[in-house]
Amino acid sequence: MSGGTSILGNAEPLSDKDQEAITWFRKAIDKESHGMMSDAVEYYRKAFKINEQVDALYRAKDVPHTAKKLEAEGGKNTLKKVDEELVKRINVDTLLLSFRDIEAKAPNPLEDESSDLTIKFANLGVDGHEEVADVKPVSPLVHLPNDIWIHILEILLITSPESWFSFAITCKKHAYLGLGTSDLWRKLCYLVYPSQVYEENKMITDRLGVGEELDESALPVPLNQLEILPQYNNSWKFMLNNRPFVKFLGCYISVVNYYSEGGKAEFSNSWSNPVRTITYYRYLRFYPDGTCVKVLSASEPNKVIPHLLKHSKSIAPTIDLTGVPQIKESQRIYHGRWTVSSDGEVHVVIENGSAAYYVFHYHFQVKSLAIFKHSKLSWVKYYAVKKEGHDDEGEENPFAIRNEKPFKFLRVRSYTTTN
Amino acid sequence: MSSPKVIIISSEDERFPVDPKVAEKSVLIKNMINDLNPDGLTEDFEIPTPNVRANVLSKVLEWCEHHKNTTFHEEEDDDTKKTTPVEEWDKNFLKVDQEMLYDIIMAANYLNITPLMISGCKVVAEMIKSKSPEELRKTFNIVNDFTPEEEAAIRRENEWAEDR
Repeated sequence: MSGGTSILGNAEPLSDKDQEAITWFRKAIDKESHGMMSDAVEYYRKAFKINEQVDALYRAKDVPHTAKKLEAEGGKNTLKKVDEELVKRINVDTLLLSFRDIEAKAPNPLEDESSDLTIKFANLGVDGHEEVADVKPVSPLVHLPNDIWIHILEILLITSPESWFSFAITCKKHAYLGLGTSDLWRKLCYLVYPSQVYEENKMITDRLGVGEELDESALPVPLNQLEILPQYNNSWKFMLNNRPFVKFLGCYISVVNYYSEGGKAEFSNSWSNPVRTITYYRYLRFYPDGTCVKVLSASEPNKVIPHLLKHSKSIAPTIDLTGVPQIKESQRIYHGRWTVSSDGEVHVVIENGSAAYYVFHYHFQVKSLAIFKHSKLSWVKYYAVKKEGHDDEGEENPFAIRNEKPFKFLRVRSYTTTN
Repeated sequence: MSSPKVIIISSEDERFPVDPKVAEKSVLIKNMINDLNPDGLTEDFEIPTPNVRANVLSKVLEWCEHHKNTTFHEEEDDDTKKTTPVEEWDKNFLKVDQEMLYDIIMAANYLNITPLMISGCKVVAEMIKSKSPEELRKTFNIVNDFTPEEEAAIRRENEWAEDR
């Protein structure tokens, strides 16, 4: 059976009790994935109270379904266990180059071990043909010349970067086109680096008077990427891998979990104090024009992300009875400015923050998160400076960053560089 | 006497007489006319296009006819040209099977009709957008010829770059 049927496959249906247990279990997983530990624990407890083996139940019901779905999207290798040693030994650049002269192949229903009978018949059903042994050739579009394909891939790279990669991972020939030539890496570098706001250049651009022309040759970080390329082995891909940058098509999220010990109830004979986990999120989003937005909230990402916009003032815009927009302090979006230094230190300045007499300064370092390059911001320092006209003007007040957690980048498809 | 025509000849020797204004949407043809007739056309001018079939040529000329008064902004920067969505008329015009789409793109490339070539590329890009790798393999009727290890290694090293 392919798709469409119930997630239970051929197993017997769940009893109402088990259904309830598994529902709590799913909710708990969702909360846990968002770092909402106390809610997660509560839901897990409810689930296990109804059925002690709810975890086994969940693995039997939900996991195969999810796995099937993943395979249907990713293809035959999605769930295969790979030989890690072998993967590590592969030199990917050499591998990609070795695909240069490989042609894309059409599936042959007679010898294709990966597609089971269901898939074969499902395919045949679409246009109603019955000839089982007939091998359809690859789409004529596959034969478009490489330079036209590179043009198409550049369009995808700009408008839908995920699609660029999805196409490149379909087969060897497409991997060569999308990842093995320098054209697309160069395009990526040009999409990324000229949009960065460099700390080193800011000194010069800030001093520029109205109507004055910028002397590009005076900029410490050149705008012409070709001048920088030699520092990166003359390889665009190497540059992208090793030169830090701030990402715009998503937001950075830091999840902070901490425990707070409460007092015991009166006459309680418990040995320990009750403990509460508290979760809050920090959100940061950057724009190529040097502005950024910042939110500190207990609301989960799926509630905040759609509202984290350049021209919004609140993540939960409401209007009172007289039509006046109401902004709760806990939902306010703060607007600031940012720069990044050429070695990847991000500096965020918020002039109108939560305390009117302070200017808030955040310093982060761009780092990599395992295989995800440049997608982490680690805390360097966080302080506030008294504004002019207040007591102790210019005084720096450092804040502790001990409890803060690094930010991770999350791609958001609806985000553009301007919305 | 009517004004001189440009007669474009398909690979099967079928003749397509069109106004010079229409034919000149092709930069290749435009340059040929200007090079060989520096003082303008005085009589019909034949151009053979031996690698364009009649059914494709007539389709391409339909596009040229529709756009004979359109001015394309050549000076627009590259990225804007790539990101603006396909114009509605072109989108409908290019609702053809994959084989015809291939032929039109190839002909537009050969005849140097950049705006048509770009529209064709955008239509292919649209076919790719928001599809999973497995759906794309079905769209182009190709097999996944990676070993599991090759696919894993390529993903680990490159997939992150889609986030920017």
